[in-house]
This record gives sequence, C-alpha cells and structure tokens, in this order.
Amino acid sequence: MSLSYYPGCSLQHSSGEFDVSTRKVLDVLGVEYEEVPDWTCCGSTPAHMMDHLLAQSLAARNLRQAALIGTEMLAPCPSCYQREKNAEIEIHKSDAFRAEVNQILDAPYEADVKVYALPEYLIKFVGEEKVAAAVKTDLSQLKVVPYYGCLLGRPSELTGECDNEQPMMMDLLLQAAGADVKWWNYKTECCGASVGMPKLEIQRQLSGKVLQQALAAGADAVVVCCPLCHVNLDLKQAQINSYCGTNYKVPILYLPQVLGLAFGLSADDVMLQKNVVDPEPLVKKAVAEAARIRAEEEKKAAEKAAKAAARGAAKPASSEDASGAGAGQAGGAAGAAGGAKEEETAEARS
Amino acid sequence: MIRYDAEKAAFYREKLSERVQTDVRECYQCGNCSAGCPAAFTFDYTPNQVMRMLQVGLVEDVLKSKAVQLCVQCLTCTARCPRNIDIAGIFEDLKTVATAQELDVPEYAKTFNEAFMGSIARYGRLPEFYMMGMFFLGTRKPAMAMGDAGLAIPMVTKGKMKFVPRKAKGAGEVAHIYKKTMDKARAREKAEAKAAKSGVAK
Repeated sequence: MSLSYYPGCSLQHSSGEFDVSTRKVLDVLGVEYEEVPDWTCCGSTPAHMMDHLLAQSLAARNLRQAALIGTEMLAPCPSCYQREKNAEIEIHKSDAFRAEVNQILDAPYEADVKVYALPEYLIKFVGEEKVAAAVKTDLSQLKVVPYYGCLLGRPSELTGECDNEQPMMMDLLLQAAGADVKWWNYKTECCGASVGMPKLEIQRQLSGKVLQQALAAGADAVVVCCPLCHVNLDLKQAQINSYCGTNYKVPILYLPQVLGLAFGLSADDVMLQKNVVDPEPLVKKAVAEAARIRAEEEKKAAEKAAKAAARGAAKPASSEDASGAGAGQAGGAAGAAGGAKEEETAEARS
Repeated sequence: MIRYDAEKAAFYREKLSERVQTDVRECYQCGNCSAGCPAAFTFDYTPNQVMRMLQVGLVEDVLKSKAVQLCVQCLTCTARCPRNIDIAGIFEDLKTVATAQELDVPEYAKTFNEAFMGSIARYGRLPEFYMMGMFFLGTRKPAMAMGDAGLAIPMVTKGKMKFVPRKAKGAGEVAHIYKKTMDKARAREKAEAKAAKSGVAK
C-alpha cells in the first residue's frame, strides 16, 4: 500500500462531508490509504498569486510528507490537486528547481510522489467496472449534471482529461454508478471562487449562470468535486437568488456522496445533512421512483411470462411468445412452463 | 498617444520566457481569450488588450490594472489560445511581480492574499473563520463583511465552521517558507529596479 491521502484545509472544516464521503467510498472500493502525516496548507490560490517559489515550496513540503507513506498522493480538493500537481511536475522535471525549493524547505524533498485528483484516481486505478459492480442502490432516476469547474479539467495535459472543454471522468463514474447523467455545456465554466470574498458580484453572476444551465439541461441536482464550487453553488445559493432575482433550490452533491449512495451507504454515512440545500427529499424521491419503475417492469414481465406460459402450454415452442425485455428476468417462470427450447430462442434474439 | 517602449517590452518579455516559458509576441489579437474570460466584464482592460500592452511595453500600467488583480485564474484563456500563449500564466506572473514590488493594487487583492498567507503562516492549516476576520479587518470596511454575513447562520447550524483555530505541527515550517520566499522575491525586484536605473544612467 503506497497511497497517501491529503485532505486539505477545506475538507477539515467547511467541507467535512466531502472528506467523510470520500473516505467511505474508498473503503467500499477496497482502496487502502493513509493520511499524509503533519500536512499543512497547499497555499491555494493566494500563494501562487503572490510568489511562484512560495507556492511551489508550500506544495513541496506536503509532497515530502506524503513520501513518508508512499509514492502516490490523492488530493480530493482540486485546488490542492492543482498546486501539488504543479509542484510535482516542475520539481521532478528540473533538478535545479528542486535544489532551489530545498533551500527554502526546513528538510529537503528527495522523492518522486505522483499526485492524483479523485475522479482521475478512481478511473485509472479502480475502474468503471469495479464501481459498477459495487452498485446496490438504483439511482437511474437521479438526474444530474457533473460540474468540473476550472481545476479538474484544465489544462488537460496536466489533469489527464481527454479535452479541455469536455472532460469526461466524472461523467463516466456517475454513469457507472447508475445515475442519469445529462449532457450540458457548462461543465468547465468558472464559478468565480478565487474572487469570492473580495469581489462578490463576479461570483454571484457566474454561479447563477451555472445553476440556470443545469436546470435547462434537465438536471435536478449538480454534482461537484470541489469544495469551492460547493460553497459557491450550495452555501451561497440564497445570495445568488437574491442577487439574480431567481428562486433556485438546486441540491449540490459531492461526487463521492453520489457514489456512496449508489453503493448502498445511508444519507447519514455520506453526511447529506451537511448540505445547505437539502438533497434528501430529491434522493429519496429518485430512489422511490426507480423502485416503482422497477416494480412496474417486473409486474409487466411477470404478466407477459404468465401469458407466454399459458400460450406455451396450449401451443408449445412458439418463438413469438418469448419477446420483450421481461423474458430474461422472468426466465424462471417461462422456462419452467415453456421448456428449454423457448429459452434458447429468447437468448438467440438478445 | 501610446508610445512603444521597446526596452521595457523586451525586459519583461525575457522575464516571461524565463519564468512562464511563453512569448507575448505570439499574440495576433484574435480575442479568443477575452471572449471566453468569465471575469472580463469586470476588467478595465480585456485579456487581449493586456497582451497588446505587454507587447508595446506598458508593463507598469498593466501591473496596476484591475484586470490583473481580478483574473480568477480559471485557465480558460490558456486552454483556448490558438497561439499556445499561457495567458493565465502571464497574469499569474504579473500578480507576483506586483506583490514583490509591494505595489498598491486595486480590489483588495493584496489584503486577501496577506490575510490568507498570514493565517496559514501562523497556524499551518487554514483557519477559515480567523482568515475571514483578518481579511475584513484588513479592508477597513466593515460593510464588506455584511455581504457575507448571511452565510454565518447556515455555516454554524451545519457545523461547517470552527471558531477557535489550532496550530498544526508544520506551522513553523510554513512561516519559514513564507518569509524566505517573499524576502527573496522582494530582493529580486529591488535588484532589477536598481540595474534598470543604472542602465538608464549609462
């Protein structure tokens, strides 16, 4: 086991639900990890806007601490991820720069730690198949749009995404988890986080547009993987409403919260109660709706199978009897009455 | 009338190719950066105007512009530039130069950065509530805090805020890093300014 986990400041305080749900999802998927010992702040946005060496040195300190655990580091917060990844690339590329950074640090960083974002790690090292195999709760009626924001997709050569404008990793994970993922054009629009405090207007206008576009795409909730996107869309949604004159009540879920729910974890496990716009009614409704649709389909299938069985008894081996989606599911009933030949035709068709 | 200052343009262009590995001369004013910029509506100069200003050597005007300080560093411009100019990298570098030269920049950017860095230099990990307090004190405009005051209620009821900061173990090292790097950056800018002056004297 060589994966270290870097929670970062936001996950410790304002985004505790992101931290807890990420850890639980990793547990379900059997990913072993250990927290980076004595980690400190990555410097986030202010450090790299003040001085380049300051930003890279703050990040390098955490890489050095992560090296105590192993050669891979998971940073779920995209802001931390970008800072750490930037430092990783520059330091590993140039020995001269590594020496410059080591002059600043109290103890030198000599290792080569690779940094991963949460969707990237899950796609590369766990895989969609394993995610799909862990699904226990049907979320097919949960209509969501994945919102990547700035830092998960851009620049794609750094993040490993397929495209700057259309990143796909969250889409793929949500689809594997069985959610109804809607297509939209605001995946990588900016929510305005980095000027959220000094310049409120920018943030409110940008975040308002994201919510409007999510609803236009037919989604009931937005899935994010960034504490700052979450603060801006969820905690500040009331402010956005009063600024833009809207009346949005869009639940904003973290990616690991949705994955956790799909894996059969409870609302408390993934801390839905911490979200400001309450997502619980929507999740409950979606799960109930999926159960109702499934029950209806099963009922139809059973009816069909019963009819088929009745006809099959009167006129055996008619190939038309086994049509429809229910044939496979209700195979037990149909097979028992209709015999092996009928099952064979159903299989050949599908 | 804007006059082309070749020396200043060349001086900063060299800095950029060294620090950001990008060349402003590549810009042919297509305007893609400005079209995609989510914050350009608050700028005094659009990103493509900033590129042009750097080409003609108006570095000082750019350093004090709102555009540089209000850039949200979303990297959309860099991703969309057909000439592969790292525009966001240039804006980032301009912000660091303004910091190292200790310029008075608009829009409380300096206040926010210093509140943030001061907080983590003291505690190692970001104490959000403490940082917000330092920022609003720094602005000396208590009315600004009211803009975010509405957030306090949900943050408290949802248990998203810790009021008493605790010192993390690596806090001392963070403080060293902050001091050493900022001293180095200020010394660099002072030496460069001095060299430029003596160059003019010759």
